[in-house]
Amino acid sequence: MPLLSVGGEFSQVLKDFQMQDILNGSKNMVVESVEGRLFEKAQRVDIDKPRVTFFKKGVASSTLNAPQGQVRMDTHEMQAWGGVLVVTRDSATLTTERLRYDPETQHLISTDTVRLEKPDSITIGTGLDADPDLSRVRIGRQKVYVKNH
Amino acid sequence: MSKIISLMAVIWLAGSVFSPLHAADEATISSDEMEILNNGARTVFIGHVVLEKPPYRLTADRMTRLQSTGIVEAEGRVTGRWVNPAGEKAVVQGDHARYDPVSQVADIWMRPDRKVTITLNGTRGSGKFQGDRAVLYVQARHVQLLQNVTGHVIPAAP
Repeated sequence: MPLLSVGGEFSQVLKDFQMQDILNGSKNMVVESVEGRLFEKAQRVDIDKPRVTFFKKGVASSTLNAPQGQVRMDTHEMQAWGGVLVVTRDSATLTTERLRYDPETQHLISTDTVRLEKPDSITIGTGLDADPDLSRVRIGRQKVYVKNH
Repeated sequence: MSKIISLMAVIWLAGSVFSPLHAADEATISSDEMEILNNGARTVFIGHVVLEKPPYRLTADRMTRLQSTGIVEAEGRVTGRWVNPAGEKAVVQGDHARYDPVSQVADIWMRPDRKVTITLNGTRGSGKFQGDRAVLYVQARHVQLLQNVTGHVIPAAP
């Protein structure tokens, strides 16, 4: 996964940064951060402790938290790293070191080790391609530990 | 004529008890790729699928599990292996398999022109049996070969 540049001088510091992504007239994603640093030429914002809320049919479906992140102002592509946690409405939990939101496919993508915990199983694998609400998930080279109810 | 063969059975995924403190009892499934669909209503395991719950091991090219029923279907080079405490090995091979966790019964079958094979190896000798279909009774720990069953046994030397 290509790492967006983290160097260079920023043009603005944005306190209580927020960015909304609207898709077909509905809220799709909201990115919030205590502080963002805007790199105007590169059209990106580096964000501290990002909190991303994903929406499905106008209702919040999952949230993402991470120590660090970056968002493109032009495409709304988002990257998060340093230990990413995604939690869905039905208590599925995804953890990985680094994750990217692809605005073209509206999918979460990772090439790192991922751990997906659901009420009935724990899955550990490498590589992820998933809907933000984790209703559809594809994981590579994985192992599932099945729980009994 | 079908013959009932007392054997060890292959235990499957659904209904297995999981506890991180008891690694030897946990059921695991590994594969090249896994896809969870429709909020987990259906899970598909693709490529070199290995379902393991010691002492049982089941491999296949592909497995699908339905969350609502727990039923697991396997297809493509389905092989079940079990080693009992005495070291006796049993191997069941087929093209397709279906496990129902409610009845704890597994069906294994082949495409029409081929036979399900059960191979046994132990201190008492070896055996190889074929039939159109195998039924594994997991709780009772025995397997039944059905329809057009043939086989041979080679006792171990005294």
